[in-house]
Parts: sequence; structure tokens; C-alpha cells
Amino acid sequence: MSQSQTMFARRSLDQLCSVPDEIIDVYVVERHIWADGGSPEAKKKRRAEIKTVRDFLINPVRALLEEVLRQLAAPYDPANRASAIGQGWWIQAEFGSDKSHLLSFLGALALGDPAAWEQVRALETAAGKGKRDSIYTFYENGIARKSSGNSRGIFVAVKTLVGQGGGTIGLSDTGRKLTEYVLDAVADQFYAENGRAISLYPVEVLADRFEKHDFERYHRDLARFLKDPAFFDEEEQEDVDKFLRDLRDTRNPTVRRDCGSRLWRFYREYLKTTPHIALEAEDVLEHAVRTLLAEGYEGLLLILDEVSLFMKNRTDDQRVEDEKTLVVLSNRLAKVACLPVWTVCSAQQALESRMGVKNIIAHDRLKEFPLLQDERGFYDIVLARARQVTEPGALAPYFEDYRQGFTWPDSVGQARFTQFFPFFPPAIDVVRAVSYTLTTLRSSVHFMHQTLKTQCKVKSNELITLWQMFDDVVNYEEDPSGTTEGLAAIRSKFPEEWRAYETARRTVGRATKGRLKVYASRCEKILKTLLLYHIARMEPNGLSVEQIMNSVMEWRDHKEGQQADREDNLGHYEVLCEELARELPQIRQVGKNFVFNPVGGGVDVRELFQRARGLAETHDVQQRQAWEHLLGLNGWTIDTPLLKIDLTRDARSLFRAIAPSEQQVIDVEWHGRQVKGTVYMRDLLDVAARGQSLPPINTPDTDHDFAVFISNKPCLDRVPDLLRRARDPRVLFWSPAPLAPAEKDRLLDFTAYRRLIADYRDKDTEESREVVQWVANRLRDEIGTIVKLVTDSYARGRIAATDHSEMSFAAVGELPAILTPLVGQVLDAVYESKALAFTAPAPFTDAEAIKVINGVVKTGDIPRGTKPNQYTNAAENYGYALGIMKKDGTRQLNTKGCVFVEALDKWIDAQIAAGNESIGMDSLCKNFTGIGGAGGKNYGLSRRMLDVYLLCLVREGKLRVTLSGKGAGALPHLDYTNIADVTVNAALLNSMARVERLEAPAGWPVLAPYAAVLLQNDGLKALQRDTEIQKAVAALLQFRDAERPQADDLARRLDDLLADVGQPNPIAETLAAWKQFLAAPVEAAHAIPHLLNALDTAFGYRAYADNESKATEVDDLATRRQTILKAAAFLRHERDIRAAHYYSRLKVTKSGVLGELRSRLDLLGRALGRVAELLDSEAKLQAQLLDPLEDVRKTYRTRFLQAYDEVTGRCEGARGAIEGLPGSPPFRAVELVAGIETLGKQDVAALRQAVLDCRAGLFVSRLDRDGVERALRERPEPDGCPLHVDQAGALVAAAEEAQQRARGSSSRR
Amino acid sequence: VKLSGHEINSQLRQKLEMPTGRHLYGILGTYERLESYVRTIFPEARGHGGERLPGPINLNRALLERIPDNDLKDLVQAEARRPETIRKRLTDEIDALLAEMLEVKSFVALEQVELVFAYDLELSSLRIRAVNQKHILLLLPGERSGDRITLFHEASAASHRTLPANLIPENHLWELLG
Repeated sequence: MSQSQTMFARRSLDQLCSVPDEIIDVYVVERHIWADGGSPEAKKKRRAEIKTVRDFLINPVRALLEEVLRQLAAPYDPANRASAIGQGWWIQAEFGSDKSHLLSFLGALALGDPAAWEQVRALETAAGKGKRDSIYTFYENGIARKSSGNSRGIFVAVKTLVGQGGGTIGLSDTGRKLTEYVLDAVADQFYAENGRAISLYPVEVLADRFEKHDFERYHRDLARFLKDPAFFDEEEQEDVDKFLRDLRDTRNPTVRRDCGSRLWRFYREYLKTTPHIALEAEDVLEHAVRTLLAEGYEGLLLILDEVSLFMKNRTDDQRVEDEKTLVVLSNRLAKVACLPVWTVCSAQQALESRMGVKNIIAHDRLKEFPLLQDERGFYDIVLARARQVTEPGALAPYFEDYRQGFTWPDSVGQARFTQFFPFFPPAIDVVRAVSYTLTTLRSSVHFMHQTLKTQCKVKSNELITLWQMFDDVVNYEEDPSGTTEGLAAIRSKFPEEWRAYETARRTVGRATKGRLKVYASRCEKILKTLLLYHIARMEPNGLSVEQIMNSVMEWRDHKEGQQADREDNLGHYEVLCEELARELPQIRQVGKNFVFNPVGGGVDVRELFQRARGLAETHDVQQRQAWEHLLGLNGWTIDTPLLKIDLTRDARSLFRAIAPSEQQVIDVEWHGRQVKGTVYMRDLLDVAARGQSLPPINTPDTDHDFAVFISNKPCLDRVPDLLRRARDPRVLFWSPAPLAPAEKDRLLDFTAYRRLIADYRDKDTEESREVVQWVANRLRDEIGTIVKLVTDSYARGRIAATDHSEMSFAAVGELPAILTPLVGQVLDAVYESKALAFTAPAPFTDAEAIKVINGVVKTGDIPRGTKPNQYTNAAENYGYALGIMKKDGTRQLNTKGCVFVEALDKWIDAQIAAGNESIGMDSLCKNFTGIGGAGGKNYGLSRRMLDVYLLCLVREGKLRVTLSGKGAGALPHLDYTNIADVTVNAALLNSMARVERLEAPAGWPVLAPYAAVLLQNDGLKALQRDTEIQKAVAALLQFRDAERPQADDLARRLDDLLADVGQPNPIAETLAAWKQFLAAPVEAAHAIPHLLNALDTAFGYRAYADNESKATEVDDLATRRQTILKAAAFLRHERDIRAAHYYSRLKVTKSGVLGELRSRLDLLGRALGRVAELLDSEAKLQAQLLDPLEDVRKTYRTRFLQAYDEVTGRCEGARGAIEGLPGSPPFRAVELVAGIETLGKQDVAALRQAVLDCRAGLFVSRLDRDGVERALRERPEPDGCPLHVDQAGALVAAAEEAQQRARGSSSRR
Repeated sequence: VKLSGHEINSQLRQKLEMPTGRHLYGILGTYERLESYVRTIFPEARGHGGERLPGPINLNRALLERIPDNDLKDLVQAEARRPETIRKRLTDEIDALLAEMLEVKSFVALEQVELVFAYDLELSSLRIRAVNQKHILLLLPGERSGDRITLFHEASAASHRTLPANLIPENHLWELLG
């Protein structure tokens, strides 16, 4: 809804707001508490400054005011220390936060001036405060009473402390004490109110006392003192009467103080006595307060401004004194002495106390009260000071109009809209943030006040937003209250930003077309908005279009009715912002946001651009270079010390790999197969004009199947000529169409951009950064259309081939994508191989061809159970399409019906028939790749496809391919015999040199029966196919290789065993022949005859000699093979056979416990004598030898272990008894007796040795019982255990005898 | 900051454009430089409206001229006997002088300020008066030494004085370049 359509038009701001003519920026307590700037008259009559009260906003500091005023208003009872009304406050806030105004307000109210309080009542009523909530209640209930009647009211003394002190360098006592400043303030104010002096200083008190009590006594002495040259020089001397006149002059406090000082000297120096007058700060200040009370005042309100700054540069001693003064005032006097003294200190900083902060800042001392902690307080203060909305009911039209055009009113709601009226809330935040950069609150108020005043003056009916305050903000400068920070206006503090802004503004101003010209003013406002946000360090990621729209707050049709709704406006601002970002390097787009970019200031880039473009229009070379640049566009990175940027933002030309006159091999997919070709970019116009030849495809050498020639200049009318000269149906020509006028314009723009970049990219200056950035900004939006002019001109161009004079195409995507259908169209019309249609997911490539060879061609099949791998997968994917496998479930190589294999086979036959023993690969390639092949056909196979088909014939045993070159390695050729063993790779395929026919292997029918025996596979006799035969031969060779070491081992072990058991080797001859056969040399290339010859040589056959197999020989070979197998079985019992031999030789007595074994042991010996029988039959071996052996071994083991246990037990017992004798009582008795000389000395050592020697001959075994049991499996008499079962009894008896002998030896002595 | 006289003029003009805040400025230099500046360069200084700035006031002389002869005679006679009285009187006179001058003009430059420091007068009135579009410029014989401003640095050490810290903000205080 537009303004004109609203029922109520917006009334101008001056009708809705009252704006003070001026606002007091800096409050000075000395001048803003009392009326008329603190005039003597006002002070005398205690008249408050009404403006101070009126301009003050109570709400943000209501809590403090209530607290202070409550204390001031409270009734004073000197006896009631529990409810002392005195108090101190430490009000801390930053510079400009209205501390001084607050102090002035408090001071003004404390005066009790009814007019001031009436103003308070009005303010509170206007703020909607009821009687109980209003601070006016403190006046009614206390302060009024204290300020009327006989009461003289609260005494208000103030002092701004900054600027005090200075003094002489080097003197420690320079600067006065805080107590003295307080006394001065009190004295001055008292004099101002009463017109007479008051005695506060000790010297003044002394003066009073002198007059009252000592005058008579010391009058003459004083007169002499004042004239005494010992104390005063001539100028200082004075008459006592003059002195007394001055002393009694109460109109001039300082004169009395000077006189008091002289009196003090008189007492101290002349009378040599010290006056009994309190000198301590507490006493002095208490005296001052009590004096004021005595004068009829209700108490002392002491206001000290800028205390922290004052204390900042005090000496340590001074600070301690100052702090003591504060404690005295706020605690000693107010709380302890229960005096009505209120001390209000304001400070910018926290107290840094020498005494300890807690000693000063506390509830019962100075109560800390920080200001402006609440955001709402800030808004309330600045808004209230800047304006008063006089017609709150008339704001609705504003809300309605602005909510139609912009989004923020709805976002914040009508209440907040009204609260901030007529300001845009975020604008205050920005101004505030900027203010903090410069000063603080004070400047925010100033900006808002000034702007609103101006808007009211011009009767504006628009809300106030950021750009309207711009001029005030950028020019503002202020010094904070005594801080030493270097602050300056925006233009001097942010020179770079300001310069950038100025440059951007000039650029907008000089625009000659487009939106920058039409909406220049609005663009400038956007610029201002972004600048201030930048300086305020707010929204570092930039402002969205919506934010910018809300901030600028002008309708699209601002001057034409303001009918645009928010959508219209949003679109309008979006376009403006984008154009600004494009045209001005100082505005940068970050995602969807826009941010101020502080660059530039020294150069007019647009002018440079226009100049460069003008030059480009007449400069064909520059245009051509620009065109070629576009053709080859592949990023455009500028990398300088100042800047690194990709100007084209990843824009790429589709011809980037070949422009302006290069070429590139590309792959395109044709019928599921990858075909290669070269794409050239050339100046075909020139080629045609000069009649130059073009490079041929030459498929046999290059394996390429097509060529595309793209002209870098339009040459549409020369294409037929070029086609005629190409004489290859697979060649395509592509000419672009000439540029349209609009495209030419864009090319000229780009030419100019190139010129600018060329001129500035290598300069290491801010100016160059600006230029490059500007070009980057322009290209950011234009590069798409600029690059498109290349695509468009080629899209309008012509592509033609010999058989296709006008091919339709779509210039979409990259070059291979465009060319693929065209190449396919051409090849379909030419190649036989179009019949090969690959349907696998991935195209058939050279690499896949190699995999197919490894997967199925070289092996002939994919055996069942083969784990899938890349080779078998390739075979499955492409083998069927290639026609070398059939979908019959066998997964075998099967070339039957494959036209290309058959054509190849047939052509090779023809070549052989023509007398060529072998055919070169180059000849094969010429006939089966590309065009002009065998039989006049254009087979169009790739080289690798040809390799596949050739190796199929190799695998089938029809061909042998000779190899040459490094890829072959040591392999001389490939044929059916070895192809399965090699891993085919590109190098090997490339080393294929010639092809020759291969005959079927000879001699196999002779060898087959022998091979069947050896491999125990009768099926071998029926093999007919070359590949199968070769496989059998290979198996035979592998058999020999595997059996050879086994045969050697078998013969050695059998010889050893039979030698151990003392028997001859009955198959020694057979074994020797077998070994000879296996060791006979056989060449793989001629395996069959060599194998036959080996049979003849080893076994005495005549298979090779007669070239025929004989049944007898085959049977003999079978027998020999069986003998070998039986020998192997015999040796599996090698250990038991040896054990049988040892047991058979065991001698046992017939009457002994082993007598029962005797016959069975003989049987074992006899069985071993029949070793030939045992070798021939494993059953006999088991029955005749191994089973009896086990029977014997079992019985023998039982007996042996019984004997072992008995003998070893008894012998160990005897050994223990013998070794225990030397320690026995009898033996010790012998030792005692032996020591008696008279009884004859005995050799006890010899006796001990004799006893121990009796152990000799006792049975000892090195094997324990388990070891003996294990050893008995091998032989009856284990090594390490010399026990014979039949001798066990004798060994036991020997042990008993040895034990007896040892006892006897000891007892005889 | 050490600046040439013209640079100081330029800075001063920028400061004078500020409509709000505190406006006490100072220029430091030797007597010779200050004299040269006042004589040749300061006359070229302009206010924010381009108007010529009023010439500096000799504060010593102005103070003495304000005091009636009889009072002055009494003060001179009493100087040795009533130092606090003299100091108080001079302080009051300075405050009154500033009030009167600033009532007439918004800019006052003060030179020859020796009396202020000779009597160790309080300088708070300068700060109190230089607010709300009332500007005071002090031409001070002195130099910056570290954080301290030493006044009358060309005189003997006994005569040196310090400028109270925080009285003049850092960016409102310039030192004349030699």
C-alpha cells in the first residue's frame, strides 16, 4: 500500500518529535548542578540547573538514584549507628557514558530545589511512574523537609579532579592531598552560599582558637614574631594589626588560611609548642562535617568526578593518602562516626588500590555501581536525549508504509518500531560501534540528535537510518576525558577505508550509463552503509541484500509514490548491489552478501578500461590474441605479492587443449569400444589458401581411427575444398561462424581486460592491486558470456566429412562429448567392425583387450571354480562380443563363427599359399586396421583387437608368433606350447613381429600309452587336439620333475634300511632304471621324442627306436611303476622294521623271565630274511613282521620295566644308606675316640672314604623310566640303561652287599 | 607528535570542526619556535568555517590587566605573606578570564602562561571551560620527555614544571618540529 493510498499520510518528523536545540555533551559538575552555569547567585540561593534535571534519563540508573536518594532523604539520628544514613558510592563507567550528568543530576536534586524536583515529578509522570515508584517520593518524604524551614538542606560540595596537580619536578611534596581538595570544595561552596569563610583546615581552627583563647596571652609575642627577621625576610614581615585584620576577615577564606599558617609557625617555631589540634585526615574531615551540621546543614554530599584519572598519576604515598581519605569519608565518618556524609565518586576505571580494593570498594565503604551494563539502558538514554516523541499515536502510518516496503518493521514489531522511532535500530548499533572506535556514548547521541534536528528542520517524513548520519559520523572527533588514546575522525583514523570510499563514490558519480547513473544517490547510500558497517566491524561476512535494503530504506520508486512493495524493493536492491560489486572494487560479493572492500583510491580503473577498450577496437592483433586467449582459456591466475586470484573463476574453453594451433589425441566411444583419434586446431583458412597438406590418420602406425580439424578462424566456404584434399572418409572439419556484433563487443571488452592485466599484473603497487581486483570483479560476472561467445560461434559453424557434408551437432559439453556422435556417424559408414557391439558397462579399450587375452585366450578357458579376477571379468565382459567365446556355459575359447578370426585365418592361409613362410605384423595391421584392408574391406580393428584374434589362433595351435624386441624378453616365440605360461602385456604384444603357421606335434601316439601309465590316466591315449596333447606332455614333464627327487630319496633310504637289517636290496635294479628315466634330459620344445628316447635308454625299450609302442613295454613300465610305489609303502614302516631287526637279535636265557620270548624272537629273524616278500606285499609285512614285533615288544617292555624299577629302587636305597653312615652316631663316636691321643690316633678321613667307596658297582641308569619306555620301541637294550632283565637279581644282591660292606668298615674301627 | 606549524594548523582545523566533546589543545615548543609559530604560521590558521582564528592572548598580561591597580598593588605587597591568597585570586581570575573570553568567542589561544605555573595554579578551569564548542589552545614552552611533558625545559632544572597528566589528551597535543 503506498503512501497516497493510506488513510493517513505520514506526518513530518517535526510534528511528531520534539528535539532539543542543543544537548549538553560534556557535563561539568561545577557548572551543571547550580543554575546559570554555577553562577555565584545560583549557588548562594541553592538553585539547581533545571536543564540538567530535564535532560536526564532516570530509568537506566533508577536503582542507583533510588539508593542514593533514599540515603539522602532518610532521617538522621546521630545515635543510631545501626542505621547510619551516610554512604559512599563508586560509579564506574566508560568515558562518555553520562557519569558527569548523573553526578550533576544528583547534586541538583540534593539541593532540594523545588523547581528541580517539580521537573523530576513531571519526568516521572511522563514515564508513567506512580507516586510510589517515582523518585519524587524521596523529595516528598525527606529531602523537602531537610531543605525547608530551619533546615539549610544538604550541603553539596563538588570537585572535578582531573587537571589538578602538576608541580615542580623533583619535589616529592608537590601536589595536594585529596583531603585538601575536599576541604577546598567545601570551603568554596560554603563561602558561595554564606558569603563568609568557615574554618576547616587545622590552621584555620588554630586561628579561631587564637582569637578566642590565646590572643591576650600571645598578642605581643605574635607582633614580635611577625617582625622578626630570624623568621621572615623584609617582604614577609608584617604588622600585627594588619595580620589580625586579615585573620578576622571571614570574607576571604584563603587569607585566613594564610594567616593561620603563620600562626602555626608562630606556635611551633616561636613558642616552641605544638597546638593541640587534630591533624589527621579523619579528624579534619570529621571536623568539617560537624561544622557543617553545626551551621544547620543536614549533611554533606560530596561529589568527586574523574577520581580514577586523578589517582592514576599520583605517587604511591599520595595514593595511599587519597585512598585513606575515601575510606574516612565513606566509612569512618559515614558508618563509624554515624555522620550524614555521602560521597559519590565517578571513575572511568576500576580502582587500582594500594591499600587493597576491598578496603575501599565495599558495601560499608564505597559501593560499586557500574553504569550502562544493560543494552536497553543505552538505547533509552540515547533516544531520550536525542528526541521526545510528542505524538506517539501518529506513528502508525510510518509503521504501515515501511512494513509494506521493507522487511524490518515486521521483524522487530510495532512496539520496538515505536520505541526507536524515528531511527532504524541497527543504525544505532552501527553508530554506537563506530562511536566506540572514536569515543563512546556521547558521540552516538550527538549523531542522532544532529541528524534528527536536520530532518525535522527540512520537515522530513522518512525514518532516519545509517546513511543520514553518515556525514556527522565520519567527521566526528572527540577527545575522551583525559585518556591518552589517540583518537581521530574516521577519515583520519581510517584513511585507507576513507580513500576507498571516496574513490568508489567518484566512480558512482562518473557513471554514464546503467543503474549506477540512474540510481547514483542510492548507490552512494549503499556504499555509505557498507563503509560504516566495515568501520564498526559489524557483520564481517557482509550484509545481505535484505539487510542493505532495510538499511538504506528507500523504495525503488522512492520519489515517485513509494508504491513498490518489499519484493520489488528486494529485487531492485539485489540488482543494484550486484552491479555495484561488479563495477566497484570497493564492494565485494561474498556468497550472497556484500561487504566493503577498502581498496583503491589512487586510480580510476573505469577510465583505464575505457581507454584500453578504445585502443582494442582499432587493434586487430590485440583482438586476435584475445580471441586465441579465449580459445585456449584454462584458468587465468594472477599471482603477485599483493594478490593471487583466478580471474576466470574456473571458466574453461572447450578448446583449451588444442588452441590456438595444437592437437590432442582423444578417445571416443563407438559401439562400446574406445577409438582414438587426433583433434587438430589449425588456421584452416590459411591451410586452404596455401594448399597445404594435412596430416593423415595412418591407422596401422598410429592406431587412430579418425581425425578432426578445427579451424581457429571462420572458414565456412573453404570446407568443401579441404574435404576434397583429405581423401579419407574418417576426417572431419569444423569451422566456426563469424562473430555477431554483440559477441564482438564482448571480445573487445575482454581485449581491454587483457590489456589492463598485462599493464598492471607485474606492478607491486596498491594501484595495480586495485586494477586487477576491478578486472576480477568484472570478469566474475562477465566471463561466462565471454567464454560463451567461443562456444556460440562454433555452434553456429559447420562440421563436415567426405560422406557427410553438413553434420548436425550440439556444441554442448567438452570436446569428446561433442565429437563422439559425429565420429560414430562417420565410422559406421566405413568400418566392418561396427558389427562388434560391446555392451559392457565400460568401453572396450586396449587395456581390456590385454585382460581378455590373459583371461581366456592364453588359457583356452576359464576353469570352473576360478575365483573371478580382472582377467576373467574382462573375458566375460568382452569375450562374447569379440566372438571368441560362445554363450554355451563352457566359458571356453571358441572362435567358431567369428568373422574376424576366420578372415584372419583365411588371409594367412592365402599368404602362406602364396609362398610367404611368415607374415609381418605390419602387413597384418595394414589389412585389418583402418581402411583399405584385405579383400577391399575396411575391417577397422584396433591393433589390440587384432592381437586378440591372432593369439586365439596361436592358442588353437594354428599359428606361432615370433617375438623380437625388449618386450619379448627371453621368449623367442609364442605358440600353443607356451602361451599359457606367459603373462601377456602391452610390451609383449608390441614385440610380436611375424606370424607363421604351426604343424600338429609328432610322436604323441607312441608316447601316449607310456604317458597314460606314468600319469595313471588312460584318457591320455585318446587325445587328439594339439592343445590337449601339449597339455599332457607338459603334465608328463611336470611328473618327471616332481618324481625325480622322490626317487633319489627312496633309493637311498631303502639301501640304508636293508643294509641295517643285513638284507640285500631286491629292487635295486628297478630303482636305478627309474632314476635314469627321470633324470634323462628332455627339451621342452621337443619333449615327445626326448621322452621316448628316455624310455628306451632307461628301461631298454624300443619305442623311440621303432617309433611305436609295445604292449610288453607298457606292461613292464606299469610293473616298474608299481614296484616303486610298493617300495615307498615298505619304507613307511622303516622304524618298526629296524626294531624288528634289533629285537630278533636279543639273547634271552630259556629259564629266565624272558624265556617265553625266545621262539618269537627267532620268528622275527626269519621273517626279515624274506625281505623280498615283505617288499612286494604290505599285507605280508604287517602279518609276518610288524604284528609279531608288537607282541614281543609288549611283553618285553613289561618285564624290562619291572626289572628296572626293582634294581634302580634297591640300588638307590643302598646308595643313600652308605652316604648316610658318616653322619651316624656310631661314626661320630669313632671320630671322638679317634681324637684321644692316649687311645691312639685314627685316620677318620680315610675311614669316611672307605665307607663311601662301597657305592662303586651299584647300578646306574642315565635314562629315567619314561625314557626307557620310549627307547624300548626302537630296540630292546636302550642306550644309557645297561640293564639286562636276566641280570636284575644279581644287581639287587650286589647292592645289599655293598651296603653291608660299608657298615662293616665303620664298625670295625 | 612532532609536526610542522602548518601541519598543526591543519590538525587544529580538523579539531575545531568537532561540535562536541572537550576541546583543550596544546602546542609545545621552545620559546623561539613558539614565537616563530605565533608570528608567521598561526595567523594562517583557520577555523572550520574558514574564518581566521583570533590571535593568542598573553595570559600573564591579561591576568594582570584584569586586576585593578590597587588590588594588584596589594597583591604584590602581600605576595610573600599570603601565598595561598595570591594563588586563589589568580586561579579565580583565570577562570573568570576564560569565561569572559569564551563568552565572546568560541576559540581562545593562550600564550605566555608562566604565571600559571609560577604560582602552581590549578588548571582544572581550563579543562572545565574547554567543552561544548568552546576551544582553548595553550602555547606551552616545553617538550615531551617520555610520558611526561616538561615545561620550561630551556630554563634551569629548578624552574622545570610538569603538565598535569591527562589534562590535554594525547591527540590534542602537538610538538613543533624544529
